[in-house]
Amino acid sequence: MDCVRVSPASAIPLSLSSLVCLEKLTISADLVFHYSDPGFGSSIYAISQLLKTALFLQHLTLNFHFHINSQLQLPHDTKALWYPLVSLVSRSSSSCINLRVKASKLPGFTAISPEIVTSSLASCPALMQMVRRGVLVIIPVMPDPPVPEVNEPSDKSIVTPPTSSGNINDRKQRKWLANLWPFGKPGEG
Amino acid sequence: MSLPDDVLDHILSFLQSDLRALKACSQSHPKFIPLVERYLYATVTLYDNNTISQNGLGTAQFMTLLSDNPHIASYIRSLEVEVTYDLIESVQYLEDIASVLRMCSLLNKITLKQIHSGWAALPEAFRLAFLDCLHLSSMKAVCIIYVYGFPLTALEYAKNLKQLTLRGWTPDHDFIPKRSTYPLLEDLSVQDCGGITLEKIIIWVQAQNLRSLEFLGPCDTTREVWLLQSLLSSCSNSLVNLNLDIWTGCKSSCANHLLKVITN
Repeated sequence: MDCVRVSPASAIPLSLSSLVCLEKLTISADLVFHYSDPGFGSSIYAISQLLKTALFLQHLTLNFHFHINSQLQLPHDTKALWYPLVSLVSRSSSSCINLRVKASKLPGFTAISPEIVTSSLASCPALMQMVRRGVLVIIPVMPDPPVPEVNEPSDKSIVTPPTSSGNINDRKQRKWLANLWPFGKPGEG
Repeated sequence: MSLPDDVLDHILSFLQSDLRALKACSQSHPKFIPLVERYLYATVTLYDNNTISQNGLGTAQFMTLLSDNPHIASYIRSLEVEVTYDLIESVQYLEDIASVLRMCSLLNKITLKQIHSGWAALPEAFRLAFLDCLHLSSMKAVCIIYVYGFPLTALEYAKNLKQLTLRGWTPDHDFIPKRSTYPLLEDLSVQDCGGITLEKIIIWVQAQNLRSLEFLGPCDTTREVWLLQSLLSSCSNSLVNLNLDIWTGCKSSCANHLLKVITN
């Protein structure tokens, strides 16, 4: 077996047909939109071909990161744009497909936000029909929000966290949530 | 009204991943402190520097905490050690971490992340303590993340190991996984491992009951594609859950090539 980069002449396509017990499959992929040859990068079709070999699949999750190769917008012809995805979903043996729409940075490309992608997906009648039938679940995955700054009570509390050996009788150091306290006051329990 | 401890414990168990909420609970009532501790310290990350982990403690503070409250060691189920080894103080930190490792007798999962140096450069006390942890009867999951030269032969005695995660690992020459002596894995995750590693992994998992496989690439060469296919075939009768990430980032070029092959 040689060790050259995969090329049309020498690649060995993957097949999942031998996996007779396979129930759950998760596939992650970058989908890059090319304006010169309109449509998302060929991963969808390649994945579709792979899925044909998964004969007993019950749950499929697609983690797709969408990118565009310029600042251009997605085309309005969503029927044509999403045809490969419609084809993938309709041909899959999985009874339910989770499509997780993500944005991540791919060098040289601009990430398309999950809101824009889901909006475009929602404009595709064939996909929406699949959503209504429960075959497809579209999940926009938003980037993590910035962690809010929380003022720690004091540096001491960081160094010495609450432990069973702490001074639990010093009530002045405790903060009580009077209106939310469901378990009775200390000493009553 | 006062809820029984077991009910409170059950409620707190839902907060395991929310350390901020757990800390707030522990500060809200003294009765909560012993109940919260088992979840607050179930997962611990230690560094070979003064980095503060998510539970608000640095390695030195955690050592002090354990010294004052040794019972906390029995609450630790998952321990992650991140090693940069770029400071002279790292040696002392790692020796402290070795002391923590020796106290943790009920670990389920251990993770070693290394950034710069290889396994052999780490202090002997740390290496021995880490390897001893692998042999705990409670140990179910081991994650080796970019630790050059880590001796996977040590897993030979990890009889109850079920999950293995390997990132950027190249096998030592001694590692010849015989199915009769190495543990039966159920869950395997592989990323950035070379062809030699995959070949040995294939031997290991062949005819085992591997139920879950995560393959995060690379899959850019004919050899890597062939090895992935062989890996899949080696667990064809047991694999239930498969996670493939071979079409993202630089790996996406592989997808384009594969497409052409399939369509030709």
